[in-house]
Amino acid sequence: MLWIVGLDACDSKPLKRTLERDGWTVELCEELSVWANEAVGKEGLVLLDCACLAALKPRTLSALKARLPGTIIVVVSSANLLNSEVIELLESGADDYFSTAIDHRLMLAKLHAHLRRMLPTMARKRDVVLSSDGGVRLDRACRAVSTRAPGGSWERLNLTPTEFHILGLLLERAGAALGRNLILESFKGGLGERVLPGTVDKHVEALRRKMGRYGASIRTVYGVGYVWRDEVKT
Amino acid sequence: MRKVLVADDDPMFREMISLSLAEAGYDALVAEDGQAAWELLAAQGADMAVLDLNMPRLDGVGLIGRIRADIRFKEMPIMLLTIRDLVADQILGYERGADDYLTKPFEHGMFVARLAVLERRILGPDA
Repeated sequence: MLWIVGLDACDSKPLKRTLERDGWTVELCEELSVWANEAVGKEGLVLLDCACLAALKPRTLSALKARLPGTIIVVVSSANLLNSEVIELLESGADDYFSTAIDHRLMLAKLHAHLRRMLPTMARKRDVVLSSDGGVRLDRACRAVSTRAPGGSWERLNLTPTEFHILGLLLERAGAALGRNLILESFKGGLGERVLPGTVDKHVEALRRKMGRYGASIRTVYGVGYVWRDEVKT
Repeated sequence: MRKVLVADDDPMFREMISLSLAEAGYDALVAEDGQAAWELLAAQGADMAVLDLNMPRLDGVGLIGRIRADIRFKEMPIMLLTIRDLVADQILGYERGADDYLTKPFEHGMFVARLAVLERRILGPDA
């Protein structure tokens, strides 16, 4: 999940377009306080307009960071900030800063770098992931995936490490589109298998086949990537 | 005290970076090229790395590749600190595994602030 908070439409809309094309699920929010309440307990990344902070008390950023430990806070500004101002933001709790005039390709590269750090943390928090219909169970501790047969028994699947990893990402973000680029970024750090941009689709196809009737829950989002939506009636 | 691996083929920048790190309370392990940096890292370990891009024997991108491929160091925060400021260079650096990218000449305050962000986000409180 990625939020854009406080930016004018002329800045937020182009950013949103670029990010959604890259596979991010993006929400716009005009008010910092509204967003901060909605974001409690969630994990994600926020592009926060510097002007939102300027009007508030000192230490707002550090208080936000303490309240939302699972959120990467990237402060953005349409005005050129002095180095001393950027340093103050970073020391107060911002995880990154860039101008809204940033080259969008560079912005995506920076956000992917943040995502690489976030994904292992998100994954570690949930050792066992269940699909919402209860038909698929992924156990990270045992590195095992099981699906529920029509009779109610569990059948273990034989997945490669890459297929296991991709399924874990899809189940963790069920209902939200997962871009191919994000899938690739999550592999940096090494799984022992080399995943190339063109082979993500092949790994997903192989995963669908192995999952049998549950393979239909991996839906293709054209131009973006894939999403997990429970399709099987159990 | 956190140990920071520094790799830069320019002696002046090696000294500037080392002084900045010392002033900020870090312990610097300094190497004059990527291969020497890798050997130093393998022998002594480090908590974070600040790497130049253009270096003989093994450049910054090649060194990041080795670090990320080694299970001992693959989670290490890495900052690229280089004179190369093209957008394409920055994108390459991030895509190859850098966590941050700063261009030379650098300001001490900004360098230390951004290193501190990497330390805070990735390593957590100093043990």
